[in-house]
Amino acid sequence: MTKKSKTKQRVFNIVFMFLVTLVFISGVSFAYLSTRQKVLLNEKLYLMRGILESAGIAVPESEKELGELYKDCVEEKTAAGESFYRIREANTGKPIAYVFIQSGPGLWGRITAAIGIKEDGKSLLGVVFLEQNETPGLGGRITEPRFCNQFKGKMGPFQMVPEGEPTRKNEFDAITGATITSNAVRRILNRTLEKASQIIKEENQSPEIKTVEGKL
Amino acid sequence: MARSPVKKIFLENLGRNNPVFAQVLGICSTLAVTNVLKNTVIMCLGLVFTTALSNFTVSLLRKWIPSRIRMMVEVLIIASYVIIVDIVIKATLPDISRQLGPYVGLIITNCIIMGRAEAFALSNPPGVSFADGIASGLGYSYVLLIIAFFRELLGSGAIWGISVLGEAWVNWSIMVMAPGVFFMLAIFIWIIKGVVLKQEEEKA
Repeated sequence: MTKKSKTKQRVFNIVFMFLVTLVFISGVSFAYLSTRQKVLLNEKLYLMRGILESAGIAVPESEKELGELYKDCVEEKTAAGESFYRIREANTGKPIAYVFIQSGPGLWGRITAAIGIKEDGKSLLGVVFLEQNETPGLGGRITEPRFCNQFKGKMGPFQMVPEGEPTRKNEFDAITGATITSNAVRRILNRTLEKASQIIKEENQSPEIKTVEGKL
Repeated sequence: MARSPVKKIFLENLGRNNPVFAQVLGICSTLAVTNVLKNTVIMCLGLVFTTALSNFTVSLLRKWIPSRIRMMVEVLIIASYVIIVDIVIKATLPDISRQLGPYVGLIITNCIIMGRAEAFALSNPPGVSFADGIASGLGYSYVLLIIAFFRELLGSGAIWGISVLGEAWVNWSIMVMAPGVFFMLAIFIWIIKGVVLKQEEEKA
């Protein structure tokens, strides 16, 4: 092979790669852009569902009803650099819960949970795990109702009970074979409760609540 | 004429030349997704789709792909299809997409796809390559489904998320962890090689 044809071959390689990349990236971009709205909507609905569920509100199936219920019940707020959600009863407007979205490191990746806390700022209303990459079948089972539902009415700071029945208010049943995940959940909950109780205390004292009650 | 090679391809991939138990490819994803049956099914569908289409595309381009950069081109093609699968699942089946997490993206690294593109698609016409992609995808799928069936049954006492063995059943935690596959897969290969393939060898 002469030197010239070698150069030609190299240039062809680069041009070919460039063209193939262009074609395929265009295809992928097209698929991404054409589904983007749907994906964003899905994520938003998922978050709304998680917030309502963690506050112990039954979530309707249809997207429209969900949107309306969310608008009636939930108010986004920020205090002390933390954003959270103020949940009211749909019909009466009575405040019933605070929901905090909090994350922490799990075994493989981030765990994000929506944590519903009662007006007293201490006991939990519900926990919904929004994002987790734990081992499916082990740590991944934190999303199952059996694990999530046990937090209802419990108070922190939490202790884990391995392979046993939790008896006290601050104990929860860890998942066997997923100690690191269970521990991560414990840390997220304890940290959130600590932060939340302070914020809720201030919120309950603030005049803003009174004006709402005055309106009713 | 066209039918017999396709039939042969299917028989080869499902039996003697199966990607999982004969070529021992795609083991990483076998470890990762077979602990719950539902995840396995989605993974298998994704793999069949990607293998078939990437085989088809590589085969279409095979006369122009310079041999020096063929692997770059193959990976690019495979990655594009996998990302499209990921996007489509995200848009249409958000719950399953969340459960699968990073596994869909990991289809890219499945050696079966690359292996078929290299070994088959580069030297065969598009139609047959497409069939080969589907066949090896199916060959992979049925082995994984069998393994996943037993892992979920023993590890969680359930099938497709529905509890079948009842409360008294004690879950074998090892079955849902990666090491469980080594046992299941080894037993599976042992049975296949010992019983099915041996008979064939003796006949030959």
